[in-house]
Amino acid sequence: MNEEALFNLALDKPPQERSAFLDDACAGDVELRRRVESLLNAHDNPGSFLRDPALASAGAKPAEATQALDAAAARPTDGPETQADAQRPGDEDLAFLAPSTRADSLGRLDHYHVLEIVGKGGFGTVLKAFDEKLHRVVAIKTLSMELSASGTARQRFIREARSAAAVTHEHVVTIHSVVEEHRPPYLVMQMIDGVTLQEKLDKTGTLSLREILRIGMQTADGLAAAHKQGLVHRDIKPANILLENGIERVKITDFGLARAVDDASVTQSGTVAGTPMYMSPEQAEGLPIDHRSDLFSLGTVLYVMGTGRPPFRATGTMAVLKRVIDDTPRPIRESNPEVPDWLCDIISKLHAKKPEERFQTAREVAELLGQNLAEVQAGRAIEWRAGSVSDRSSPSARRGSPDPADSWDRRSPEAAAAGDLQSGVSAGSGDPRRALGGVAGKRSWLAWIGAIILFSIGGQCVLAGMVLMNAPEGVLTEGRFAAPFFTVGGLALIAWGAFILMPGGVLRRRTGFAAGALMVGAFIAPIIYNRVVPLPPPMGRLEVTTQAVDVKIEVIHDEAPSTTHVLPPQAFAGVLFDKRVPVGSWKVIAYRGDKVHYQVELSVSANETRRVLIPEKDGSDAHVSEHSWVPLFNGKDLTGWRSLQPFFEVKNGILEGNGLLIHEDTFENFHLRVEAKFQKHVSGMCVCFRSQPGVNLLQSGYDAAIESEHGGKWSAVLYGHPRDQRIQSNETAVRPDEWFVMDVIAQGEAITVKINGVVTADVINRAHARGHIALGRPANHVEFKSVQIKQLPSGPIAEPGWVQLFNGKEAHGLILGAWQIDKKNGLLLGNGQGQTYVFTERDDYADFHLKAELGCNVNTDSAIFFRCGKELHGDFPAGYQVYTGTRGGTSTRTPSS
Amino acid sequence: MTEITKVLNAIDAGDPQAAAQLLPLVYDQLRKLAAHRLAAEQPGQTLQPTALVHEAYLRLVGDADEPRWQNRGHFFAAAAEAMRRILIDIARRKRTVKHGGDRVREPLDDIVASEKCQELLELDEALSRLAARDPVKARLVELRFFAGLTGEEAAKVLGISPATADRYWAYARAWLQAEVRGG
Repeated sequence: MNEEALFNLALDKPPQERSAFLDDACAGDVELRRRVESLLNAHDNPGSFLRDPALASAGAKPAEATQALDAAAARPTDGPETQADAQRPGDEDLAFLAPSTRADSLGRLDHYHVLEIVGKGGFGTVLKAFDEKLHRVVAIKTLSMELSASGTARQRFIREARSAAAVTHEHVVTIHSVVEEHRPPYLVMQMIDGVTLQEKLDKTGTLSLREILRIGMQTADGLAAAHKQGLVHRDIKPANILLENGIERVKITDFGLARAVDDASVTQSGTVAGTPMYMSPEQAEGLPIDHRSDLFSLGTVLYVMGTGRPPFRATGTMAVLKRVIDDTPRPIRESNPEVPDWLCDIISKLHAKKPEERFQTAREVAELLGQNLAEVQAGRAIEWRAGSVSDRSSPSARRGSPDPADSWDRRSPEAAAAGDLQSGVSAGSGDPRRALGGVAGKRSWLAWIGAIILFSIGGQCVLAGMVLMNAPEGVLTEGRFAAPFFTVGGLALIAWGAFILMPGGVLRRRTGFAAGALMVGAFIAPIIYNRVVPLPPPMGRLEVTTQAVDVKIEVIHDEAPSTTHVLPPQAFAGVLFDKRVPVGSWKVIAYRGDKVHYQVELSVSANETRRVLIPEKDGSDAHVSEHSWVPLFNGKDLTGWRSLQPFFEVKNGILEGNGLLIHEDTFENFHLRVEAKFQKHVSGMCVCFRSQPGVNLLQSGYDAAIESEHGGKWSAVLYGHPRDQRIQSNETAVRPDEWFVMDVIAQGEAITVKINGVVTADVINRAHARGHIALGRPANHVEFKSVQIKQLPSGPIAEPGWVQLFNGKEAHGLILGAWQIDKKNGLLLGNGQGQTYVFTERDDYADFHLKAELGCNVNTDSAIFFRCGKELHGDFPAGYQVYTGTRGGTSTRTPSS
Repeated sequence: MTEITKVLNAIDAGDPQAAAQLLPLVYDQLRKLAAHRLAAEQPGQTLQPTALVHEAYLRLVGDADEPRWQNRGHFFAAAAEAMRRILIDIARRKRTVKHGGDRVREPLDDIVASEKCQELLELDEALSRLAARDPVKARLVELRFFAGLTGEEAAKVLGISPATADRYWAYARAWLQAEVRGG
């Protein structure tokens, strides 16, 4: 065995046995024995060696400030005979103090200036003192002169205090040093400002449940730290539990000191000294004790906190000891019914007469009390109880013989209050923590899962909203970003939710970081994983009504020919086709036999219903057919219309009112004819068409109006919205109180308005869109005799959908600038000097198909610019261009290149 | 991330170069702090090594995001060694001054009392001898005596149980004492 092992083993032996042990162990190795002995000697007499950290012990004091103190410190201090003059009147216990230079000091003990006497106990005196070296206030406990006369007591005091000094714990009073060279020996410790638990109890009687649990838990915690060092307190009682001012933090004091007192008392008087009421049975009987003795005393302290009085009371020390050894205390709830069952059970388990039937460690008790405190603080009344169900009916009987295999469970507070004996879920184990994990765990997991699901659903909704809001025109046409965004974002939100729902409900820093990283990941992932994921095409609705019988109808999606519907000839007129269809360009062709009877192209947009009316007569010629008129006003009521303001009614077959009347259907290519009249003193009437749903009708689409002008004149005006611009305005002969006929012909990009057969507006190149028709004029009384409409093919020119900007003879809607029309050759020609451009009048072509035949001379270029403005950037309009030329082949430029 | 955090993380990652970079950083910071404290404190106020070391830690590493204990461990170990060097340097210098050297007094000199110089130097030598035999115990002494850590904190730094640390401490202290006193 080596030196170190021997040293450690010898340390564990009582000093008187060490010599024999070393004789034996060193087996004649003199050098080894000498070494170990010198180590043991050094260990037993450490003095100040390495006692304080280097800086503290090396700290130098500026000369002037401490000179006087130094001088004082230099005087001899040991030996009571030198201190006669230091003694203050009435303070016999302080006879050992040397005079102090401080005005506020009672006297000096080495470098400690005693400020006041804090208390006196069986072992000696507690002093408050100022440590002149470290400049701090400390508490000093001196062993009473009487006790220090006993060699054993003195030795014990020093040894126990020394081991207590090794305990560093927030709930144990820290011992700074033990001074054994002094007579009497004393120990220096942390000064705690506050009251003892005893003083608190004297003032308040019982304590609240929370206080009991907190003080109990902290005391058990402090005990656990001491027990870990092998130190038994031996005198746990309210007077040894300090409550620090303000936060009332528990500080256990006087570790092991009882032992010194014990020794002295036993040797001197043959009786047991100490605090009998808080002793354990084994202590009372004078049997060997271990740390579980402190647990019994802790049970007594808990009992006192709950009831306000000690459990084992009697007149005379011996009677008390007898009760400690034999009696079961009066049930707590007889004194204080508010103490919950489970706490009574914990206390009675601590009060088991046999140490092996108590809780086995202070740590266990601290954890149990801590858990219960957390539950109580969280407002959840969780009931813990010890003992089997049958025991519950007679708790006092059980206390005499607690069941070591206690099972612990939780009960509802209602059940507990009613004295219900129903057993909860038993974990079948003596470990209460396992039971908590089993039952509480299951319940909270369910809550977590529920919350996580809610979180993820909510998260998906938020993400979906974000994607939709960012999609062009509110329509999600592509799944770009969406799929990975949803996936990763959803995961991140689940994780986020899970972390917030960690026990305690607090987002912890690390988990917060992890969740944050996932969220960041959710935003980065779409950038890395940027794949276009096609979504199902958005749908609109297409309705085909026929007035013609026996026509076969083909409904063809222009871009996706596979979505073609062919309807066999029907023997009746009416709705033949009414389906949700993918948005896009559709063509409806009706065949009578092999001959095309009617055809129309139209575009279906998302969530919009498009109607096609197939006329009875052959519609292949674009002439208006009188037979295809459909009345929108039935002469009886407002069927098919809704009024923005409820001022329209049908009187004597006349539709009249004040406001705007909107037809429920939408129309794109049509011929609308109204017979109308407006009153005197009004500003006119209007017919709105191609107005968009959901928007103020007067702010969208077009508006064919008759308006009063200065000088009693009336004008027919065509407005284009949204910019409310007057497209055309012409004087009209219409006057108030006269019936007139207004025709609105909207076909493709051409719009014509006639009043009483006279064209008042005739424009082409107007953006067109399907929309509602509205009649009236807010705040003006208008009457309609008839309203009828005729479906028209989609364009004014041969190929449906195409508008000619230049037809070889004329330019429509073009700003020619320096360009000229060569009518002879049917060409539109640039002059070839510098960069000149022909611009369209319209500057809002967005989605289009442009066809042009063009050419250029040698060494010149031709280009088509689109989506550009009229301003030149450098030599070119900003925007896109398709370029062709003799110098560089064909290329396409974008704004950025 | 501060420079020192990088170094600490590098040590943690097993970079042998990093450990060498740590000591000078900690040494400088501790010297600066000690000098500053000495100038600012009331006369007679003693410097607390724990306070110095913890403040150095806060200044160098910061307290954001609860750094891993592992990092604190490296730091405290370095701080203890730095503290030892600072004190021993001062003790050496003061002894030289006493023996007739004419070096200029430095502000930090006051943190080591003249009568302690010899003790400190002897302890330092004994500690080096202990380190040769049993480096863990020597480091434990450094942590407790020079950095002012509690037994429990020192145990954490060394990665041993507090009980073991206490046994080591008892032995190391006795050994050093026997070494210093017994010669």
